[in-house]
Amino acid sequence: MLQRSIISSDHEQTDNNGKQSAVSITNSLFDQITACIFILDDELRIKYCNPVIKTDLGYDQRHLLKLRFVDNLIPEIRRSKISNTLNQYLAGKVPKYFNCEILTKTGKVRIYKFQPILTQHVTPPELILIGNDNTLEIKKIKSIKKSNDRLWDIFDNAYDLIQIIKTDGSILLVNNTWKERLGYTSQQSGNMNIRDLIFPPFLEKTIQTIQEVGKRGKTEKFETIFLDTNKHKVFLTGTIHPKIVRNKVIEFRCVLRDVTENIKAEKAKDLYYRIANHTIQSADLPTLFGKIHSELMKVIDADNFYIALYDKDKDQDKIKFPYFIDESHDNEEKYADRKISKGLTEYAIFLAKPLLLYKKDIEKLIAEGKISPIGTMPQVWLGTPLKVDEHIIGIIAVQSYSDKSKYSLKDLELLDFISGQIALSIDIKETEEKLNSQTARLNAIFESSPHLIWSVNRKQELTSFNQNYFDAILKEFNLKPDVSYEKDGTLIIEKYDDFWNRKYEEAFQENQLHFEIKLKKDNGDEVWKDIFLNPIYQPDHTIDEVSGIATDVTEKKLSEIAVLDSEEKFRTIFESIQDLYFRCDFDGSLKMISPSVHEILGYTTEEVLNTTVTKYYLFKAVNKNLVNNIKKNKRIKNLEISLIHKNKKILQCICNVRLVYDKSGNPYQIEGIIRDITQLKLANIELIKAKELALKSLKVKEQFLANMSHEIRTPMNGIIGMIDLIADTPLNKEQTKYIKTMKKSSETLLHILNDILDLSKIEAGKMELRETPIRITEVMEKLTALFSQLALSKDISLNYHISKQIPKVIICDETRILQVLANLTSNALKFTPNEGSIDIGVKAERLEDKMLMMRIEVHDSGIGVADEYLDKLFTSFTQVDNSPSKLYGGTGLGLAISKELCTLMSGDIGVHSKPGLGSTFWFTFAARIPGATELKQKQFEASLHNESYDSLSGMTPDVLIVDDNSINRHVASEILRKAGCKVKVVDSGFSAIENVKEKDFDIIFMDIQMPEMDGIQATKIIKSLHLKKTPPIIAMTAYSLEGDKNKYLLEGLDDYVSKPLRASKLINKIKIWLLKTGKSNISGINHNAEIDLNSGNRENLKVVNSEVVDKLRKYGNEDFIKSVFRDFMDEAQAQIKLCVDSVKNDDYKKILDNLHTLKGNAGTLGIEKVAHMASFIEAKLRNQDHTNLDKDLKILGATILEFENQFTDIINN
Amino acid sequence: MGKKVLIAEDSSVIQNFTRKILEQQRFEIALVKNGQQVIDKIKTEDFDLILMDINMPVLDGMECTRQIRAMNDQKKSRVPILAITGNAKNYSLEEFKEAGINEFLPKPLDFDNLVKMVIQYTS
Repeated sequence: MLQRSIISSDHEQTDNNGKQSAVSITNSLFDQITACIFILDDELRIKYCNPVIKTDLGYDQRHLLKLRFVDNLIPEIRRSKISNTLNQYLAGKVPKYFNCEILTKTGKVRIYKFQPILTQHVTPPELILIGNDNTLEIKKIKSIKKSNDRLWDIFDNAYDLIQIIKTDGSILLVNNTWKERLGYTSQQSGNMNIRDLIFPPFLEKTIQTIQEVGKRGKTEKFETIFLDTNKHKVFLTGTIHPKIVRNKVIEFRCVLRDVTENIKAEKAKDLYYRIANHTIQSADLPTLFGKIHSELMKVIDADNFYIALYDKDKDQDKIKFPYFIDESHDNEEKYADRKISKGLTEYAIFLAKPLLLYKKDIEKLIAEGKISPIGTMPQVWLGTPLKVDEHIIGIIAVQSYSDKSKYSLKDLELLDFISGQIALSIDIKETEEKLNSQTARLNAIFESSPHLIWSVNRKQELTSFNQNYFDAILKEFNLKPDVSYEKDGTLIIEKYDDFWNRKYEEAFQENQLHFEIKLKKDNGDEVWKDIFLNPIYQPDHTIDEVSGIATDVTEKKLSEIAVLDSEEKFRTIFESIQDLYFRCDFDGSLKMISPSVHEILGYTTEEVLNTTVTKYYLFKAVNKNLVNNIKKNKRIKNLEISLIHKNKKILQCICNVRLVYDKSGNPYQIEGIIRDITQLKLANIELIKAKELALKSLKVKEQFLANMSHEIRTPMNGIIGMIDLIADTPLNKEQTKYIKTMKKSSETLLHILNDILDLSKIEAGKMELRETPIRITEVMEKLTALFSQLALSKDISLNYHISKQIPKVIICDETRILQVLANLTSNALKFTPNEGSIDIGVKAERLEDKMLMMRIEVHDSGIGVADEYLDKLFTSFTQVDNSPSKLYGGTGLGLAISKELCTLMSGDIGVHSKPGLGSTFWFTFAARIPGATELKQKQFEASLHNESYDSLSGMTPDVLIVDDNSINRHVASEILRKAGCKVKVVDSGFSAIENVKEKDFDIIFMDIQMPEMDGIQATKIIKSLHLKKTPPIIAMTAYSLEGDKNKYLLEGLDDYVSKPLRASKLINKIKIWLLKTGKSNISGINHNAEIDLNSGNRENLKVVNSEVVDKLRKYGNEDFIKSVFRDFMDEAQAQIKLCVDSVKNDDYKKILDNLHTLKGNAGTLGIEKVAHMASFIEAKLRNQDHTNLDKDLKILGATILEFENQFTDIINN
Repeated sequence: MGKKVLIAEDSSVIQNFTRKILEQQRFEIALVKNGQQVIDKIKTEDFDLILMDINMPVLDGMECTRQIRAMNDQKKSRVPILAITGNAKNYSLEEFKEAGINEFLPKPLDFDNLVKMVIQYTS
């Protein structure tokens, strides 16, 4: 290549002296060459360099010319050396190549490999250097060397053993690990053959493996065992790799790993597990020891093996040999335990260390006196202590009598390793012993238990029993139980044999039994035993025995029997109960029902049990929360329910239910007893019907009485009226006497009628009290005036006495008190014989605040009343007996009415009497003590008394009397004619209508009850005629019940007068209405007389009519009513003031206007007294009657004041 | 809105409780004290009914009614008029009819009747 490049150069160069050198000749050639070319002169100056230096080293070709090669291109530190080298080359010692570091223009160092050529044909000689950059090449070599070193290092220090052997087995090369592990030096190994190394039993197999690898030429895995310098086995595993050169195996590379420790560990582990396994499986310790021995033999030579045990706590100074196999002894012979002596075994035990002793060691110990020779001296002895919890319990040992090399330290290690397991086995044995002591404890419990305890085997032979059992059997059955007893001697009584057989069999079938039995003792008494039989499970879950536990429960049982007896009694009751007894859960499920269910509901108990209770009764809203109610109230009594019979009939029942509690006091059921009351209910309904019928009859009776009294009163009206008229005619003495009798009789009859009416009023609840201030003395005076004549005629002294504690004026219903008092007094007079006496006492029974309880007693010296009649006295239509009733007459109503009246007045009535000794009738009533206003009113009213009403004082009003009853017509017309009226009488509503059309009447008296057209109809028609002057129409009626008046007024009548007609009543009405309608133009009239306050009507007047207040309530609350009344009061006071003021100015028009409004307002609001007074004054004024106006207005003012005082109370009520 | 009732009444007692009773019945109430005030009132406002006291100062109920009935506006002239009266002047039913009063409610006033009549004449 060099040759070729030189030849191809066309570069031309001339040297300085003009002579053409080799260089110049070849210049042109050199320029073409890719190698670097330097031509140096004999002073090593650069004569020529080719252009490659530009590309390779960065220098300009020309700049380098004449420069010294070494100084410019060689790194400084190499210069002198290179300079010398090159000079040597110039001197002719030219090498083939040399390497030289060259500096590039940028200062980098490159390594060049130069071929120096000396031009010998030129003088002075020139040195031609042809070079290539060799830097990379050099570096490569360097790194290869480095890596080679590294590989060696790895090779030497690898964990694996590496060897290279020739095919004949001679060792070529081994690594450090190999040498270290096997203990040979490099030199030794170099002279060794692998055959010297292999553990002989493995030699053949190993060589075979190597040869096969050689044949196949493939890497193989292989295992072998070498012996190290100590002749110890080294277990190896690895690969063998053949090196093949020219198809021939020339050597083997073996890479092997030492697995000795692994193998040993595994063997030891295996041995350990086996021993552990044998510990579990071996039934007893000797077996275990045998197994240990045979296992040990697999690992080491253990022809002579023994186990020695020593427990200094337990065995004191004894050493035991539970296992001893020795060639010097007969195997069957047990090596005897011996006393602790100075044997090798004892030495090892006390030393507590694993020991490997050779004969010489033992001899030495003997020589030192540490041990005494016992038995045959072994060549080698190996022993390790047995430790349990760091406590030595003995040793195991192997020995050889022939070969001292039989055991090594490794074997000692192994023995030591398994010693732990052997020690453990022995410990387990000891634990078993501990278990035995546990058993002993159990046994103690077994014996001391209060129960009888025993066990039997499958043959039912007694296998164990405790003392209690023994004692009980002996005592109760006079038998001595024994484990050899054939059958369970227990409760061994012939007749129970079958029973016990059965029970034991059952228990052996893995059943736990609990039962009670009754046994007859030897002395014939009965005993009860509570027995438990339990199978006894063996560890392998088989049952060999059954245990029995018995308790004497005779006492408990006897009391239970007693309970059962009583339960039996209960059951008998339960079964024979007529009512229905049941028990159910809270969800209604019936748990118990008496057999009576069949009789009552038609179901059998079986049909009913466990069904829901709701199926058997009608569901009603009342029962909705029945269960909750029961839970809440614990019991419900007299609950009415409707049961459903199987045949769907409904039964009316009454039941009592309550909670049932469990033993811990929690409610868990409901029990109840139900009685069928259907029949009772029916009877009750009948009773109610009967009662209703009776009430209806009573109503009929009342109706009858009311009608009858009315019917009788009408003719009575006539009779009395006519008597009055006759009495006014001239009569002789005899006639006068008859008339008086007639009058008296008819008045009596009227009295009776009034009684009946009173009673029906009271019974109808229509009697109302009219409480006014009264003087009690006046009442008593009136009473004596009433009866003095009669008393005198019978020569009976009638006296009264009023207690001083009673106020002069009290507020009560005078009429009613007088009525009761008169009744009692007339009775007393009736039943008191001539010349007797009647004493009336008035006293206050109680005085509280402003309330008085008055008590009036009427004592007579009459015939008295027998005890048995006392109760009947105060009932209606009863007289003590029939014959006296005939003798004494009377309605028999008086006392009944009195009783009702007293009750009405918040009092009572009663009698103390003894036949023949007279009676004391008493009654009480509530009265109030009046305030100042009421006292004034009393005085005011008193001043109005005693006026005459009988005359119309010269007026002659036209009066129309309408009545279908001719007597009434006659009476009325006669009374009115006498009083000065012009009277027209008609007998029907029709003729009344005709008459009013033809003639103006001032007033019409209209009977209400008339055939064809009643008074109300007639009135309506008359009013609808719109006559120029429609006269006021006054109703006449016998219906004198309270409220009648209002009824007629509502129907259009103007006023009302009750029958029987009395002259005074009629005349008063006329006076009032003439005033009202302005017809009365006659002065001199007694105005006061016309005040209704004193007439019959006055009785009906109220300060405030509560009916009106009630009506107002429909339209508003109390506040509304109060405001209305307050308005009225304010206005009324203003009006009164206006009126009083107007009197001074004689402004009657204004007074009239005000009075008119006041009257309307008061009337509208039911302020009756005010309305009436205002109306009265208004009427007078319209008649131009101005007399007493001041006084009248004052009365009106007082009336308003009275209202004011009371209105708050009234509306509050 | 309830029907409108004008109450012409001299007495504040009757006026007040009539108002309250009718208000309770959901009537709308206006109050005046005499006949002249009635005339003034209905000139500006229409009512469904007038409760008229007969005995009133300034202009009494009878005269007031006659004036109302004479009005041109039919809505006003045909308003039902119920008289409330104690009939101090003893007018007959013919006289009331003649004046144009539809019905009269006698004093003492019956509340039930009052309410019944008012409802009857306003519906």
